[in-house]
Amino acid sequence: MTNHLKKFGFFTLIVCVVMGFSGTGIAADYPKKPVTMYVVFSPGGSMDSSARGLSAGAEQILGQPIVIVTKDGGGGTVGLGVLANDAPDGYTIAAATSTGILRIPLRRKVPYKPLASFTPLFAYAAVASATVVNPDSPFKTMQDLIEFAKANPGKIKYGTAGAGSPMHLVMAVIGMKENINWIHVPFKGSAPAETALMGGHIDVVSTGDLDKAITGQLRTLCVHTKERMGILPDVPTTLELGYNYYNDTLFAIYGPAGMDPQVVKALEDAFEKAVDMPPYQKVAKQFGLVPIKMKSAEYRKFLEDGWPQQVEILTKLKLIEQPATEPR
Amino acid sequence: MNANLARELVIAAAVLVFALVVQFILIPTQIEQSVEYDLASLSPAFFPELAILIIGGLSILLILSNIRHLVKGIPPEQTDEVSLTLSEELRIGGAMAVSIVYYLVVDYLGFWITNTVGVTILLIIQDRRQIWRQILIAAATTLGIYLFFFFVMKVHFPIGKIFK
Amino acid sequence: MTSIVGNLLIGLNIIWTWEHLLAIVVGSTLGLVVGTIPGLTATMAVALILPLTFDMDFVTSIMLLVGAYKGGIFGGSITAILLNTPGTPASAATVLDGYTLTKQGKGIKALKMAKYSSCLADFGSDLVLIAVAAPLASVALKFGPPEIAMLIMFSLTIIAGVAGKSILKGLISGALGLLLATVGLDPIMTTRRFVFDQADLDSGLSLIPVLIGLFALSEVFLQLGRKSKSKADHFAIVHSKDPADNRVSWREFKRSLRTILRGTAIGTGIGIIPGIGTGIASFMSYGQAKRASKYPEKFGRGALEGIAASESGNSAVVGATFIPLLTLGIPGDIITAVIMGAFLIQGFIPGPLLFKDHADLIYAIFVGFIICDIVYFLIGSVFMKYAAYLSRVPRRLLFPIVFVFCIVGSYAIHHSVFDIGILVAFGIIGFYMQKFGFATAPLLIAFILSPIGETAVRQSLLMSSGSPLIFVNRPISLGFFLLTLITIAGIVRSHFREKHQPLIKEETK
Repeated sequence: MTNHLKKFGFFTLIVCVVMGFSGTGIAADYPKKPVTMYVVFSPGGSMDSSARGLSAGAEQILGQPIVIVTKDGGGGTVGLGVLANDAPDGYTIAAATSTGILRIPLRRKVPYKPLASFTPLFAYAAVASATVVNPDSPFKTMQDLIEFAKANPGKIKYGTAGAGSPMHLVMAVIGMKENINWIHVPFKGSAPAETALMGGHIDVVSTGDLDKAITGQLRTLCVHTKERMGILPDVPTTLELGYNYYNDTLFAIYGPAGMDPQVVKALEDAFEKAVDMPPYQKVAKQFGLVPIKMKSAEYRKFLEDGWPQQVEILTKLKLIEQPATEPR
Repeated sequence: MNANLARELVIAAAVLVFALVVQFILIPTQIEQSVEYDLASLSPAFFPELAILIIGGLSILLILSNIRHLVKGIPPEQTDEVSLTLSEELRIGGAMAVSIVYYLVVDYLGFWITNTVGVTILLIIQDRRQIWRQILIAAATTLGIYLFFFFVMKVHFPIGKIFK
Repeated sequence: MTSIVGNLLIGLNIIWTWEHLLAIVVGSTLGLVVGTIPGLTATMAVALILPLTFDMDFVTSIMLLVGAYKGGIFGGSITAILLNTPGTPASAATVLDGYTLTKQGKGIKALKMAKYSSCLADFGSDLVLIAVAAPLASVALKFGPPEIAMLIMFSLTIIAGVAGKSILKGLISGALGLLLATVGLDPIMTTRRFVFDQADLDSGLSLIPVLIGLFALSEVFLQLGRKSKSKADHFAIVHSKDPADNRVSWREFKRSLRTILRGTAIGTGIGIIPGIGTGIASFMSYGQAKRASKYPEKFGRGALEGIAASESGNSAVVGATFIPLLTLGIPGDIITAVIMGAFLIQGFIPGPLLFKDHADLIYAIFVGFIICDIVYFLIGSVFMKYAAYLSRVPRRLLFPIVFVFCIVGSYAIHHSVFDIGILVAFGIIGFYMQKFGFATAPLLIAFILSPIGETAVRQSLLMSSGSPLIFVNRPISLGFFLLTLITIAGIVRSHFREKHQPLIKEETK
């Protein structure tokens, strides 16, 4: 009897070990097996769809499949937290926004060191956001809105995807500069905010979903990107209007800290090419993503420079007193 | 005062204590105060405190209603619960222990081991005969679930930290 | 009217190809299979299929996803009835009577009633979708935060109906659900509440582990306690010897027809309003059915009407969530949001323009919905025959397997071991709650509804700069507020009447 038990147990142990085997990636043969990519937002959204499109292209270049695993929660922090503890062998990476590094850790404690726990690999898209109103709204330009808001404090209600989001920050910065008292109504995401706008319950929305702005179902007063958007050529940017702020949220790929530089190069090259390939291009067009190609070193600098800037803005807007997480 | 009534009183009192603990210990420590917020929108602590108020208030009502039963000599309402023998309770406790341990170790030992061992123990709890068959069934189930979830659902189970 | 029929015929023409029909069948089957497995939800089925659709043509991919959606919801009901494990939150109300019926040996009857109610209600809401999508959508838009807040408040009164014997304990259970729902980030200020420094709790307690723990795992614990008497000890009897238990008679069906209609209306209403979520439809329908019934005390004890109510509620929601999606581009719930992603990837932006430019495709999808209903009725019947084989599985084997599915299902959503911990915790909590007479359904209802309600209340107050009058200043919101008051008054009155009845009886002896 006990012999059977021993044999069986041994067999199970072997099977487990084989199942759990993860090789140490030697850069020269990278990748030798499929790569797992965590996506920190749920399926169907712009982050998930763009990550899938990008991987579809990248895996053709790398020669190994990229397996997508959804690890959402906490605005992206849960997935990043898991990545921070994974082995930096190049077989586990994650697609996440830059806000997981540059904004959320400032407001609450996260289970990783934003500037130290990761190897930034590649930033592939700039998220576009805009200020929109209903097509029958009396405000035809951003100036109309601002003048009305100045003259009628407490009357204008604007919706955003949540307190502290880049969309909220844009409106808050404008409000501060122009000395406007307008009311922020946070929603769980841009879609419910747009719904409330369309129902006439609020007056303006600072939104991260541009599909209705693109089709004209909603009127766009200004965009929050660095430069004018090709699909909305007549709409001014916040920078043009004189406000020293724009939404610089990026979609990017990260790996755990301490990755082999050759593996990093292989990945960033693959993703760079993947941006131009059809699977990703299709998605980018639909979601209105602005193409960016920032390789590892450049993106790392972006994050490190961005940290003190974000601290300054959030403190000035009285959203935080000091960063909730140490960067390193 | 019969046993039922005594038990009901204890339960109601326990709920009241729970409410007090949350109100005076958990809420102050666990609800972050934001730096500045618009008073119009109610503080983050409002709804939790509302919930506690209801729980506390109702538990007091429960206590009073039980006391009323005591005074008037009316037996309390029959609760919906099922009565269990001691050996049944022990078995249930064993099953609960298995699930707690499962949660704690699955990250370290990995899905394979944890699941096989866990299911085996659960089978044994119910029937101590034929331990061999039980282990085999447990392993087969584990394998089947792993295959289905890995290939069809694309779900990756914890490999187990000791194997990394 | 004629133009709708004309358009439908065009749509029928488009959809009637092998590819499309196959997509419907495959989607429905996959949805059914996934939904039936305890712990796996319709959302997962749809999210799973989504990446596979990137290379398919538009109508095919949408049909695949919709099939999975409908199949998944129904599949969840199968496990709810047979194993007390709701496969999706939508089926949570079905366990209240379904599982009891199974224990009484009437499992097949319950399943059949679920099938008829689901299909009828699904069909009904699809008809509404086809006929009056646009005007209804604009009504739905009128539901802003104050309206939603009052609607939620009204929905919470259902709790009284599912509180079991002790209404005080039921209300405590509900308040506990409210408290637990606040764990995580505050919806307005995004500050942390009750997070105990665990990053996993930042998004709050996930619904699925809580649901499965409370309803399914607690039952598993109970069943594992019973000693298995012999090798041949089988769990419950799905196939009873009495043929009357294995079918739904015309009389029984007729009696539930009203309930099904009401459930369809409620489900459709809830599906249309974006931002409510669909989990509540089954409970609301159940609560209303109980209130309107001549025999309310039968609910919870194996009333066929209870199943009819909850199943029609949760199925009617499906078609209705597409109304705001297709006409305004606003998804009605999470699954529809995922499907909207599919639209975008294919290059079609849902909204009023889509109707103008691609009406033929939209009508093809409409016809597809109807075909879906028929398909899953047929497949569902086949499925149920196999589900009945569950009765052959010896009890001591069945529940450990259900146990594993509970764990795996909870893990699979976010690939999170922490969710397993939540599952186990709520399994234990659920078991002891039931042992001490606290109903678990109120906790679940409050847990699902309070986040929506709290957010809506606080947004409304922001909109009104702090004045609570906003809830009564607006017609729809005022309407639901009054409805709530009336319902509460009714509950209080019937409660006192019940209490004094036995005393009166005693005095007249």
